[in-house]
Amino acid sequence: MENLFIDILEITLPISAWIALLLLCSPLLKRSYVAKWRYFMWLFVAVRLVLPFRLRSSITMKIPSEVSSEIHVMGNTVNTAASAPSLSQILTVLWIIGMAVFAIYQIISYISFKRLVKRWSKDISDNRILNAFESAKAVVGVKRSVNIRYCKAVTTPMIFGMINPVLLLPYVDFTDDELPIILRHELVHLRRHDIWYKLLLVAARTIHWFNPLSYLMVRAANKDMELACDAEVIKCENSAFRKHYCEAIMRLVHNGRGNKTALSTCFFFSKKTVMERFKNIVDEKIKRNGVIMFCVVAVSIAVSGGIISFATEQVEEIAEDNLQIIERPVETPKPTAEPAPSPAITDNSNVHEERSNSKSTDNSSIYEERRNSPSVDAAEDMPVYGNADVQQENTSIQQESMYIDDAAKTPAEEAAGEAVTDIEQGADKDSVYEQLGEPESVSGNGNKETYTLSDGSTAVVQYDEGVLDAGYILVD
Amino acid sequence: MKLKKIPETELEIMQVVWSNDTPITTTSIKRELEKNRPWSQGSLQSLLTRLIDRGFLKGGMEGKNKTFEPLVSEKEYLALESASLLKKLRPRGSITELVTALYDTKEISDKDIEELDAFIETIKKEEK
Repeated sequence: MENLFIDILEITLPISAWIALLLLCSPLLKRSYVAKWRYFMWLFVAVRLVLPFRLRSSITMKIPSEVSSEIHVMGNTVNTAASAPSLSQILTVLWIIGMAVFAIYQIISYISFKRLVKRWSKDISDNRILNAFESAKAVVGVKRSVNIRYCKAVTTPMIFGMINPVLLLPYVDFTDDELPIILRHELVHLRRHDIWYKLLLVAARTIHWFNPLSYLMVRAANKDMELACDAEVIKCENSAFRKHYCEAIMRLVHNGRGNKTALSTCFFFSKKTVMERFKNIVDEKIKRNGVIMFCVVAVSIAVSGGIISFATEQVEEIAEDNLQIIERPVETPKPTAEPAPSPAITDNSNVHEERSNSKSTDNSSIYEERRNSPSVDAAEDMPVYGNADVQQENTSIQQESMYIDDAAKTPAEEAAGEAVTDIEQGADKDSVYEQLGEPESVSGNGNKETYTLSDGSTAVVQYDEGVLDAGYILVD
Repeated sequence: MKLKKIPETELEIMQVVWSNDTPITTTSIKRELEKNRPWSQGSLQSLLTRLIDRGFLKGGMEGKNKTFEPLVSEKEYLALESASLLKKLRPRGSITELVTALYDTKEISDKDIEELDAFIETIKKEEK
């Protein structure tokens, strides 16, 4: 409970990367893809942000690697200094307070707007408007009951109300051309449940109020929601219709100009948004809807949060095991691990051969190969996996051990305060022996074994049904 | 006198006053109000007096009849009611975000409006 904030950080960090990426790419995407694509993308991001504990097996604390060292330090001092609140506890409390403030603000403003609307709206008896409303409902395909009322307190047509929606019309004389357009725009919002969409965005931003990217996301999503709605209304309509659409919006721009002396903060954005909508409306070019792209990005976002949690979970498990096995007092965590023994290879020339055979294949197959038989040369070819750490390991040539994923390894090393090298998962007992060299002594119970090796170092390996589950070497 | 938010019933009366020619007599006000629901003469009288005290109405005489005219315009009063503290926190657009509006921004500069108008003009010309 007190470490909830850590869980939230774990969600907010990877998803922020996605938000930034989508924001950066959107000028490119806008050119050839429909707004609806982005509209659903933001929906997906918002759902991911609002459901923080999905994809988790338990709510026990898992430390993302970015903050782990900090937390470790905190943890050590707390243990000795009785019950002073830890950093993560303080942050959690601050986070909850902030969230409450934003939520209360939203609720109060909703209620006060509801009151204002109630006081200042009245039924419409004008048949011209009522008829236009009915035919717009038929065109858009809205079957649920929805009221339409005049409201003096609004300057633009809008839908208000979560459960019993009301279409509020300002006192503006819309022409017969404009009236069906504005009604259809609002009814499309209604049909798409855009108020709930907005509620979800606001909820995501309330939970992640400390993350500036969530504000940018909500703004971009609101704009894309309007663009997607415009696109739906003008679908299959001629250029005269589109022109009237722009004029109707322009009339509302004029009508909405309330307080001219108010502090001007984002003039630029309002103009830019309107201009973008105009261009979107008059643009009759057919854009791709990018279903495949949507799926790819959606799946990546879904797993990116999950993978992080999963990776840290594994690391935690390994770290815990380590502590149990070593039974040594944990020393001050080192910021970086000692140079670990490198990926071991029984025969280097063999690998070279393999590699030259597969030169024409793509990166992913090289990666596969590397997982099976890592080598210094292969690492150089790997932009993603072959980072500096790996190369360092590779240069300090040792004979034992294997490589898995050094990103998942670092916190384990810190936790143990020992140089640890993972042995590749999935190998059977014989091939482990082959890689490590015949151990001088063996202790353990079949599943978890400790070997003393000829060079004096100790290898701890864990088997799962005869297959290597996790393993590492402690250098003495 | 500083204006204060008035209760629902008084607002109903004010809306009649605002939407009709003034000065308006008590009888005409009552007739308009009763389009929606019946009103008692007594409560209408006292509410009118209270509105005069509050500085919303100015009383007068037309022959034997009392007349009323507004001292505050509807626009002025509406601006006051919507300009709450919340409004100051969110100056652009509606008080709450949870509406789907066609165009929900209150602030835009003259120069920007000119630019947008110019764009509308160009698309109008293209049409012809």
